[in-house]
Amino acid sequence: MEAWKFVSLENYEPPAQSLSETTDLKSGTQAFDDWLHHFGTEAPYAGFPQAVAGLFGNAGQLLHGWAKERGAQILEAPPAESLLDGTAELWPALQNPGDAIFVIPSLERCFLRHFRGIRLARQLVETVWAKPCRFVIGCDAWAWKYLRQAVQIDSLCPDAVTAAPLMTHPVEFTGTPDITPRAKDSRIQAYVLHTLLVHDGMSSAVLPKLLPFRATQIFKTLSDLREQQLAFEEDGAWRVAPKHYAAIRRQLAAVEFWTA
Amino acid sequence: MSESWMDMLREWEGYEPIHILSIIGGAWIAYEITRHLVPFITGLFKPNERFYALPWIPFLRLIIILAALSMIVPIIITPTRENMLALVGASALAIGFAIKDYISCLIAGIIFMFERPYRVGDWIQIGETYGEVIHLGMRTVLIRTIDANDITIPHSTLWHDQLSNATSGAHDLLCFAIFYVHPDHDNALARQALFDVAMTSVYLHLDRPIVVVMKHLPFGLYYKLKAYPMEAREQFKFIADLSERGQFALQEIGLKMVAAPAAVAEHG
Repeated sequence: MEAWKFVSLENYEPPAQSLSETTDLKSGTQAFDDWLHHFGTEAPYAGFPQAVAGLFGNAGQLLHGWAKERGAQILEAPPAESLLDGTAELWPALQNPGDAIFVIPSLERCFLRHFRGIRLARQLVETVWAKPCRFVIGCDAWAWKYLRQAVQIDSLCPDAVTAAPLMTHPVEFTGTPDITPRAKDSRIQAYVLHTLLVHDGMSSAVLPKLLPFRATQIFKTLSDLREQQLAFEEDGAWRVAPKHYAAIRRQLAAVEFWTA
Repeated sequence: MSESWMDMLREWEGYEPIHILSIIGGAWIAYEITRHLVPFITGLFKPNERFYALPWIPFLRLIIILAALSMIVPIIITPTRENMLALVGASALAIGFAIKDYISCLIAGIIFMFERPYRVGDWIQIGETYGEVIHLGMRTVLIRTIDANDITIPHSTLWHDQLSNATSGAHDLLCFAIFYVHPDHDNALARQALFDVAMTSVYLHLDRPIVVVMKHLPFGLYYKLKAYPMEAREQFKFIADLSERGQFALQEIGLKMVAAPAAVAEHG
């Protein structure tokens, strides 16, 4: 349980010893519940709304479990296509929130880095300010950083929290290829990997809508990344290989890409 | 006159020519090292570190040249006060008539080295030429345009021409895209759409501000979308991305683009 100490995302420091890759979500659910009770000293859950950040969808898994145990209403992410064409609508339940507790387990699935793709996230901020309600947001740390700048999501939850098991990734793998060669004009690999990190994975069909490159260039890059084992496809979504996560993040930061 | 010049010269014991040649050789090697090795090493630095490291290159070169001259001159002439004054006077006369343009460039180079109107890594415009400063010589500045053409411009050009520096030694480079539209529309909606376009560009420097400026003109209305790219070398890709998606986003919310008169469009 000690590993499940919830701390501010801003002040999060990785533990000195790496944790087991298998995250004990049951303990995490209990720890999160205890933390919420502790946070709201006057009444349970008085401190809403709250945000929990993690990596690789861990925060979403945790909050799915917590919502089921506590009978909170889960607000699922809309299809990526509806975000892309601007037809994604705000969850109707938020119009008349009452006493319900809402959970958005994966906010990273509720936006796209596209000029139509951030409308839903903005609507969420505007609506909750107009009609305050109690809810918990789960979000990938990269998406959280982006949405703080794009729609000031932290106006709802100023201090997102996290816990070490939510931020785990495998021990750093040696021999990660250079993804940001200075000699070449194109930094397309870096842009593709960065986009995958910001969205915690993305389908190959949507990626060309988010990047200023030809679709065939992007597909070739994905193929190269798979060859180099830097990214992989699972359930229709391309993701950064966790074993290369630390090195990729470091390389991106070295060439001025923003990182979580 | 010729006798007094001869008096200035030192008597050589035989080894002096080799000594002078070795000084010139050493200076040349040091000069070439600063020319090739230092940019190569700084190329490995982060962009912001590169901006601080590269401006020292011309200063190093000046030190090399002055050091070489200060070693060679005393070998050739007897370094008395009279001799030095005569040398300086004669040099000034020769320079005045023969290589005044060259010296003008050189003096401009030395002055600009301290005033630093541009540094290696800056994006500057002199006359019609716009590009990245990739080399600062004693006499000239080498600019690489976006078409990958290298253009050499004498420093002395700035005695009579204007310089526009987009970066001024800083890492940031403000870019903008301009949209001329019909004035009949919801301004707030248009500004929001343009903000979203910049915010969702993959080239955006996320921690720098995005500004949308609006201005009424006799033939319509213009929006200027200002933002910073992560990497200055990608400024034109960034501007193209903002322009293309910005126009699309504005048209999608019902704005009609209008053509600006040539004189207005040219000056933004």
